[in-house]
Amino acid sequence: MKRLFAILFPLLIIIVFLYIMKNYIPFCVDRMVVAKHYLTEGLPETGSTNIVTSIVVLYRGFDTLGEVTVLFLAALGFGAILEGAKKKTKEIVASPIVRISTRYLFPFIIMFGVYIFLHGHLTPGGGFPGGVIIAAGILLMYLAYKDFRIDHTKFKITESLAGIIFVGIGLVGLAIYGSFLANFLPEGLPRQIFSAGIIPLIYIAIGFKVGSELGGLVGEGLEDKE
Amino acid sequence: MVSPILLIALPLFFAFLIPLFKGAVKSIILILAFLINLTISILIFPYAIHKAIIVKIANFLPPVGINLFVGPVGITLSILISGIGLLGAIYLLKMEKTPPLNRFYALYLLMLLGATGMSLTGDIFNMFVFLEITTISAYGLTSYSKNEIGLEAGMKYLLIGSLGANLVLVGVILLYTTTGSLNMADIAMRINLVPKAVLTFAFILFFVGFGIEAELFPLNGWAPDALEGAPHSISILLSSVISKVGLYAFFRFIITVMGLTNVKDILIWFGIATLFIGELAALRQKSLKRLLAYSSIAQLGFIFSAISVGTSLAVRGALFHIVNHALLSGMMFLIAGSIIKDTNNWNIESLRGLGSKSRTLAFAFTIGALGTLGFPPLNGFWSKFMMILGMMKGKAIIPVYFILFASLIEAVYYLRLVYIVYFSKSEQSINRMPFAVAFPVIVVLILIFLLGFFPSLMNGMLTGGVKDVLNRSWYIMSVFGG
Amino acid sequence: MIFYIGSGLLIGIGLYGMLYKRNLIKIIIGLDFIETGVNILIISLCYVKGGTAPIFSLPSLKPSQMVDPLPQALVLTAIVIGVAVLAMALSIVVRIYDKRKTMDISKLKRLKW
Repeated sequence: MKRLFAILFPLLIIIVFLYIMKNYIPFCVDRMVVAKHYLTEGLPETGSTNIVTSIVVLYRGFDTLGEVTVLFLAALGFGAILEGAKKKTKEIVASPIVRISTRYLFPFIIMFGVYIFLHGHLTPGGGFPGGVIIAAGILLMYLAYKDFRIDHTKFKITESLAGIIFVGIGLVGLAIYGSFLANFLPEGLPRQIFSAGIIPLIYIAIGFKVGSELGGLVGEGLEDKE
Repeated sequence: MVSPILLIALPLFFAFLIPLFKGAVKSIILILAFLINLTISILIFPYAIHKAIIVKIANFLPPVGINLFVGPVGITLSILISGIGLLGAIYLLKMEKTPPLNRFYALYLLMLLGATGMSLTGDIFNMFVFLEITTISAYGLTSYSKNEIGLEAGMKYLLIGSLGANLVLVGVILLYTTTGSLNMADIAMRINLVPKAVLTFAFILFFVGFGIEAELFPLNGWAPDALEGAPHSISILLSSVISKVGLYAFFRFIITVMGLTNVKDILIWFGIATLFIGELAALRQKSLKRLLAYSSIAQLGFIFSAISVGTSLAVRGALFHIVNHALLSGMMFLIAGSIIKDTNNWNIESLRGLGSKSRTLAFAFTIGALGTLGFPPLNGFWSKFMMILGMMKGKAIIPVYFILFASLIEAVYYLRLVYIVYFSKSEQSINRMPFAVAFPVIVVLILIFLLGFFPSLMNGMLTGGVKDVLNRSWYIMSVFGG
Repeated sequence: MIFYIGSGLLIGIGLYGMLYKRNLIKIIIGLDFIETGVNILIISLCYVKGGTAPIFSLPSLKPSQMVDPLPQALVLTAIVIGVAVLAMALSIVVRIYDKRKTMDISKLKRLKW
């Protein structure tokens, strides 16, 4: 009986939803209004060739600030709730192939992550994917070597400092232009790495923050505590 | 004049600083953050109640950029949040000892930052982001004490709350894709472009999504558990502040952005149902915090119905009651928390003998009970009176009958509590009240009496607030015309 | 249209999981399905027929040939928020299992009416 309800209720919602989508919101139709401004004025106004980046960092930078805060919250809550729990993970010894290849791959993974967040305004990607790749590299090291430990204090300091830098850049914009997160660096030439105003700076800060945050999260989850 | 963006940027700055320090510095940063927010909010208050302040972020005008809308309701909520947050912070400095403390302080600050953001933003996706900030920190804080009740309450809150937030996200996307913009005033201007069916579907999504946060029946299953199971300092904030911003977000979307006026009747009845079922449930409660939780939910239902009726007197009363109830219920949870901590008894019997052991707490508890009931000359009287009168003016007579009956039920259980406080004997002793408890209680008592004897102090804010809630063209003009 | 059906199905399966399943981990996976379905829905709404990615990698690209960049930015934020909720949920589950040795939601009935 409960199963019947649990199947019918979502089914009803899906059917209503699909009916509305089919009749009122046609697929692949150009419906942009505000986005037209971003596409046409994005390059001249911000200097970044990747329009999604200029939206994420400049036009809607406030949302990105909120997103960074949410990640910070998750790391805080995760660590706080798990603190003092007795954990023992099962002993999984990685094979020699994993161990040796990880040892060589790890620096390249970190480099790749840094490349992604450094070039956020030129190629797809940006701070968040770059940070996640760094964290994935750390996860790989944890899985391959059971004695690998990261220095939690350094990671926490990096995380807080990066966040402070982000808010600080915003406050500098407030002081100079009277508007939080205003772009106060010159736009430069497009398709150069030192262009697009504050976008590279913010993405570097986000990259470091996300990398250290998720790396610390992975570490806290995987380490044994007795 | 100070830019209101500092209300959000500065606490964030401090929140990132807190994990870097140990010891007493953390407490100083926490109190400092709230003091600064409270001061800035009070400084901006006189300007915001006449003409809404629009703050553009990243130097882009709306609708291209995000903007903050600092109107009368928004700035009042901000003052409430930072004020009650400050008093709660003073309380928790002494009363919360669960390790790790620095994360607790940071989460606490961030939860209130999220609530401030929700009340000041003018963009629908930004509202979603701040909703998530508020609720995710609330999930973490509810489970913080890691006892069984806290963990279970936190899990329930998380599952129901994040489901609601995802529904809000779908609604936001539907509004974006049919109007082409994410700015609240812009969508309000273009709302005619949205087909009726999509509008109805979006309304249902927002109703469920924000209704969960506003503790509406039948979406409030999580609320009694969360209010009971959370650490005492968090229960104060959940009941007095977090539920109010959920309510604000609900009405901002339904009335201002979408302009739906024909759903009034449904909303009134859902509010009445919340009120009535809440009071009935509180009647049979034996656990003190759970009783207060149900009472708080019921009052929210009352406010919900009053705003739904839509007459300007009812909305005045509702806005006044938002302030009053925040003060009253915050104080009640604070007293309950310190009593439970002293006697280690979660039952209402722990109130026994309070009258002789601690005169101040007993007096404050009684004032809180009478204020919630609406006894003159306390603040609750004025707000409840205005709401009932306003609802009658709006021809909602039958709901008023339900409200009066529910108030009767409320009187029964509250007066029973007062009886236990003053007329029962008990052998247990209650320690001397620490400053961390005495100071917030006395400050709130002063405010309750002040608002009760001089309700006209609120006139400026209330008139502006009614315009803010009900008048769509004023909202649009403030963003684009000014 | 196929994208709408796909995301709708994901949301529906997630809802079914959250309503019916009793194991906490499965319920959280249901929540994950719902979040993923919503993200796919958002992305699918930004496609314009024949459009390309909104990056001016060559000087000759014109804005009229590009897809809508705004939902892509929204999805970035939504994915990160989803990760945060999942992390919080899983930490609470670990603690619940630690204390009560069960992940069955019908056994967690400490808080009642």
